Amino acid sequence: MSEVRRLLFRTKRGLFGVSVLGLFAFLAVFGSLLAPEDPRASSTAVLEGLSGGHPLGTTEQGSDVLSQLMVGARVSIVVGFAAAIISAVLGALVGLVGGYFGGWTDRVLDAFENWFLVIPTLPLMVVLARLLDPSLIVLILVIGLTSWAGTGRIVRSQVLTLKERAFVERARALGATDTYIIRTHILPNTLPLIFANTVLIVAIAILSEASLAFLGLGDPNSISWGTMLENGFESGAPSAGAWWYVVPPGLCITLLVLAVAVLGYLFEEHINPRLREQR
Amino acid sequence: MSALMDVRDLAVHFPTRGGVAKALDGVTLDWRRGEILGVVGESGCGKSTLARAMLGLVPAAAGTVATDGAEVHGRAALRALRRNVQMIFQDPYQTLNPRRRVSDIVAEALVVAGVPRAEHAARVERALDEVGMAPERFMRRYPHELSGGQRQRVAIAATLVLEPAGIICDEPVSMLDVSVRSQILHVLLELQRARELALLFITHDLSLAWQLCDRIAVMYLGRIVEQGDARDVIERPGHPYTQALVDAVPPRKQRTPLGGELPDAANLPAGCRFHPRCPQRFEPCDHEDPPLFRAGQPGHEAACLLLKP
Amino acid sequence: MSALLEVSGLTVRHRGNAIVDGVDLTLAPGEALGLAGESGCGKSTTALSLMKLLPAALVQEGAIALHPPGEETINIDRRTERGMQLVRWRHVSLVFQGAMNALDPVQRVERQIASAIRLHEPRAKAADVKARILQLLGTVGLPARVGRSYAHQLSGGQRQRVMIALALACRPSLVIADEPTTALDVVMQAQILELLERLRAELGLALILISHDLSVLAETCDRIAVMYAGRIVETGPVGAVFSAPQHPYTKRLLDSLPVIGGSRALAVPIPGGPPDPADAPPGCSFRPRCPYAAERCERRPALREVATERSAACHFAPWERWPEPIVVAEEPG
Repeated sequence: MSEVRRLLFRTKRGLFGVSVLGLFAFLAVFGSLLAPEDPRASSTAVLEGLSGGHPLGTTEQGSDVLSQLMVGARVSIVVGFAAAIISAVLGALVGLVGGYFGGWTDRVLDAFENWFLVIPTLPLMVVLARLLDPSLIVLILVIGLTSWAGTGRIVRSQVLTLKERAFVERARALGATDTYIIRTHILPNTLPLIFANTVLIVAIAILSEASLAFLGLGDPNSISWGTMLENGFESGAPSAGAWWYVVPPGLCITLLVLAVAVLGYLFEEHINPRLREQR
Repeated sequence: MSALMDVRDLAVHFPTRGGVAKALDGVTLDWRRGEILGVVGESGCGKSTLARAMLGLVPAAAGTVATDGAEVHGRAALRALRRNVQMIFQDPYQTLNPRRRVSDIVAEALVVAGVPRAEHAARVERALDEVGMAPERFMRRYPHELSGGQRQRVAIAATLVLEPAGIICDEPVSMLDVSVRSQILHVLLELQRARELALLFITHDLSLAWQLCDRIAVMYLGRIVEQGDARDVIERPGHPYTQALVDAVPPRKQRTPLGGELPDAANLPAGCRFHPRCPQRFEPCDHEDPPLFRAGQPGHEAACLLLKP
Repeated sequence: MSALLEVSGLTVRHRGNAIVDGVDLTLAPGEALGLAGESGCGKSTTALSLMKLLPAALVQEGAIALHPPGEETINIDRRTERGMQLVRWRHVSLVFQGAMNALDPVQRVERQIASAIRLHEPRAKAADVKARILQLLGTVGLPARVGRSYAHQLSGGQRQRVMIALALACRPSLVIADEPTTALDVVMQAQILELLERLRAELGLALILISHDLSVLAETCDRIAVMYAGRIVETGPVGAVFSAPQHPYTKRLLDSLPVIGGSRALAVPIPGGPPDPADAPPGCSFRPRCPYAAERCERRPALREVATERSAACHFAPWERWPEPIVVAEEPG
């Protein structure tokens, strides 16, 4: 435990990850209370630059960018993480089961996976979001259910090589059950891969939420970093020189993904003895 | 000595692109309690498949495996067998899970067998002691912190915790340096003596078999072509293949090595399966498949038509 | 006869620690030298440094001179990387241990041999290259169809033969073979050793054969050099070293080889493993594992002549007879 604490609070990378995630988590909880203005309030001050009243300028509707940014943290973080977790669990499960047991199970799961890999994700999301009533939960489910195939594929191939390794054969020679082998030998050795992939999915999920919101299929009432980006680009903010509208949400998404990636890497170091050695 | 394991007409078939490969094609073998039995042959002759089939790790197409006179049938019997007969693999770099500590690796057999947790620490320490690894120094280490020889010691310790009656050693020293190799062989032999273990020693190197084994069985293309007392078989081989294996041990006195390579197990030669490479083949060899004939001492037999009475 | 290769004071350092420490070697044209020792004793590093193929973290010093027959002397130690490219494969080539890793999995064998030839003879005609490839495959005892194959379609023995064909592609005068048979079974090993011997006789090749297995060297080499902890501790003609070793390390290595028809008793193993170069003991580096170590062994013994053509780095050499070894406290190696 103290080792984890040291990694998180005594290393530069750990501190960075913890503080960025901490700040965003704080915003996710309290952002709407702390925002200086109503993020939806429109005004005539359209696309205004940085000023005392609007520290990060205004949107094309004349709303305060800083307030939107603070309020938007909640949807982005919740959607990003919840969807990524659904996707990781699904992908890992399908990859582990298919790769380990092989045969018909694998063939069926593999076909299923292929299907999810080849169909264009966005149209599928659109259809699903249309069929179901747009809400945050639906959004999370739709993104989670459409993004697991990549993880499944990577996990499956890793499991295929792992199960040929001698230590798995040794466990089998001892008479170990499949559950035991998966739990102690296969899963720990695929965890880093699952983690690395999940970090990417956090980013994809945040952006997918933005795309769906932009198409009017998200929760119409929510503000997120994704919707800010989309609205910003749609209103021509970058070409109008209004960088303050698109850079802050973009930066926040990047920081969030970076923080998750850094923590993921630290976690990998903690569970992988060989990496710990090299530090 | 009673038989620890009795193998009768064991066959293992693998589907390949060229047809069904008969990796094991009717092997009959008895492995007695307390005995060091060598199984020798080239890579691909089926010796590792035999080891795996004996423990039910690959499905048998035909034949039976018995332990202590009782045929192994069903899950419970297989579990009991795997408790009693353990296995050590060739590659010490592959055989240990890189993410687990030495203590976890050695304790694994206890966990799998459902031995109460309270007994683990003491049994793991004793097993490590027995292979010459000071428990307090090595328990907490990871495999990458160990040398090849130390890893193989850990692998041996991991088989000892359940106090098996036999250990199948699949080329346990072929990846190790000469000096480390003799250390590991020492450990194995001392254990064998102290615990009256039966060892099934798989190797391609007849000089090792010469040094270690009580009896040896020579395999070629999924069959046993010669077996008997180790000294008898190596000093007076009844089968030309055994002779070729003896001659291949460096430094060689006989300068022409056995030519060619193992034929495809999916496309076995007719007659004696060794005849295409045999320097002593004669007329009937390409159509008559020889059974095991008596060769010299009692218990020494070889599948060669030259020995046909 | 003048030497083909002269190496003096070859030293390779990693962060200041010597992995190879003052190695001197000479090799006559057509001679086969065996380099023996445990893994980690500096055999492979020595081999790679002869071709200047060491990774950047390793620094080498010492003189390496190659005298190819009928050509000017090449001072390998003074060559730049560009200059070395003209020497590698043309004059000295290397057969690696893992033939599977050393062959390109997505190129046919003939293309790999062709590119080795073209590297040094860019203007060779396609038909000539083709003929050379067929001839090379024949030389190493492979059928012509192997040229059209990929590495994964070949057996271990065939891959090692392809590696040897590759090494011969530019008709070098020296081939270094690093554990060429370690991954093979005895039958394949015998075939490959047979091949190396034949090539030596037919092509007048000089050979440096590296192996931890002394019995492999006994069969193939004229002379052997036993390395321990980066130094040569014993050299001499192969028969003499085998029948009367002059260093306790060589003696113990030989004792641990099982001999068919010989004693079946296991020799007392050499305890522990070779020292870490960063933490090498002062004095004789074999001292901690040596059953005969005495006070004077705290001084480092020099490699000196102890009989005709025989050198050993041991204070007690020449050894007339070997006393029963005293068992040294065991450390798992």
